[in-house]
Amino acid sequence: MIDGDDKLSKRYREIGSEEPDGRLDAAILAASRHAVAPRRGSQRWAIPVSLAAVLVLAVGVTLRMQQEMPGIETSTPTREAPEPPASPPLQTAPPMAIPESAKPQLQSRSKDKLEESRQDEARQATTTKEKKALETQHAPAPQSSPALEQKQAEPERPVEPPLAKVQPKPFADAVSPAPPAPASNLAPSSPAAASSAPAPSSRAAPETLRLEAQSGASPTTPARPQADAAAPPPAQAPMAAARAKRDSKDLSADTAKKEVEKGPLERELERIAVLRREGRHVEADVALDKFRRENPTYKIPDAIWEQVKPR
Amino acid sequence: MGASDEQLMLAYAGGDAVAFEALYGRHKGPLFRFILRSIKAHGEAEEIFQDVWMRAIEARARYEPKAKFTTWLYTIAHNRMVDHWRAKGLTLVPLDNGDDEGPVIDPPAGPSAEPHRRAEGRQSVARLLDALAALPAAQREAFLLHEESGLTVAEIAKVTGTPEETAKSRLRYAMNKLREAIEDD
Repeated sequence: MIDGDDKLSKRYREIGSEEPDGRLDAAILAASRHAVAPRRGSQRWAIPVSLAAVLVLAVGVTLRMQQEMPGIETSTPTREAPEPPASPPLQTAPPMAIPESAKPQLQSRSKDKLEESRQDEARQATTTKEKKALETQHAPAPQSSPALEQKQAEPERPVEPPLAKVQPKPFADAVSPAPPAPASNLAPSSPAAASSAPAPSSRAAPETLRLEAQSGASPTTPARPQADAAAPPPAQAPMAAARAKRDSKDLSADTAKKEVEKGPLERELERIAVLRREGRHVEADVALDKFRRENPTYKIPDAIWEQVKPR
Repeated sequence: MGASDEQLMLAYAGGDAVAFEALYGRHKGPLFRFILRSIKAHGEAEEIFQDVWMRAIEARARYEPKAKFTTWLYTIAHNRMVDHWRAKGLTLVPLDNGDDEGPVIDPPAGPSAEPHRRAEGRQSVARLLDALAALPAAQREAFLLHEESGLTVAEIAKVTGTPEETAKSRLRYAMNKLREAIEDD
């Protein structure tokens, strides 16, 4: 590349070969060991700590369920009938298929129940908005149908928690749009919520329970899915719309967050520049130092440096 | 021969502290001299030297062996020194200036204050040191990168963030001036 630099190089070597102090070596090597040592330690403890955390959570949830279970069982009769529409699998099931499949079961139970479900269907047919919302709900249906089958096969107790979990959300979302069936689901243990529910649904609850008792079916296991199928449509539409809205909001928030995270390094420098302009120099110094450490090979342009440099 | 620098750095990033010791042993001398002869003040050079290694340690997880480890390490050193010049209120013109006659940064301590110069006691070496100190910072940096770390022109350009022609020009001018200085003996 460049000729005739041998002599120069040789003479340059004669200058000497300074080395850093031994204490500097020790400090840097200690830092290098320290940097990798804690990670090993955390890895060693990661599994035991996570296992302990899972155990604690499992025990806590179990105890809580045991405490809440008696209240749920006693209040089941008043809640069971209206619950159907709020149960997760049915919310996502196709609107037209559910009533048809539920009809035979309902007939075997009682005429009153069938009439109510038909009234609900009629109400649903008249409300075009709800139909549209239900149509938008077709996509998630396939996912939930296996879940429904699984839940039906499951014993009574495991089924309870999902119901208790799912009910609050649909309630809040569906209170205003769908008065009829869902409201009573939503009031498992609170009388206030039950009182706020519309009259027809609260009437339906005891009736269905009575029918279940007459038919000898357990109030919880097989009856619930059938009852779910009985009165789903009216509540599903508003709940689905609300859920769709909520999901879309979450998605947009996530994408915005990702954009911020993926922002270029210049964005971080701009943030530091803003801190400088606002006179928050301590924060700016810390941020600049952090930036430098995280991006040691990044060359800060002069123009930007003038805005972010320490004051 | 042993593992390459890149392999050692990857091993260190994976948690092998011994790999870093080997890496440090290889590069500590050249890097220290590069900084010392650029900064001239021994205390500041030590501080910068330590900071460069700390940054390398902290950035270990983001290290990718796309380029030579030396290029990566000296890029960190270059940026750290640029920060140093900036903090001292010295403009970056000398560092970024590719021309041969760019302004010269007055060193914080003159060449005559260099401890190694007194230790050497040889006139030619003293002249070389004087000439080196008198070089524009950008040329001096190019020369030191070439001599101490053995970087090629392309690698010097990458480290300093300049076009290859500029790096080549700086190195050529630096060597010409230094050659003139030692030929005066």
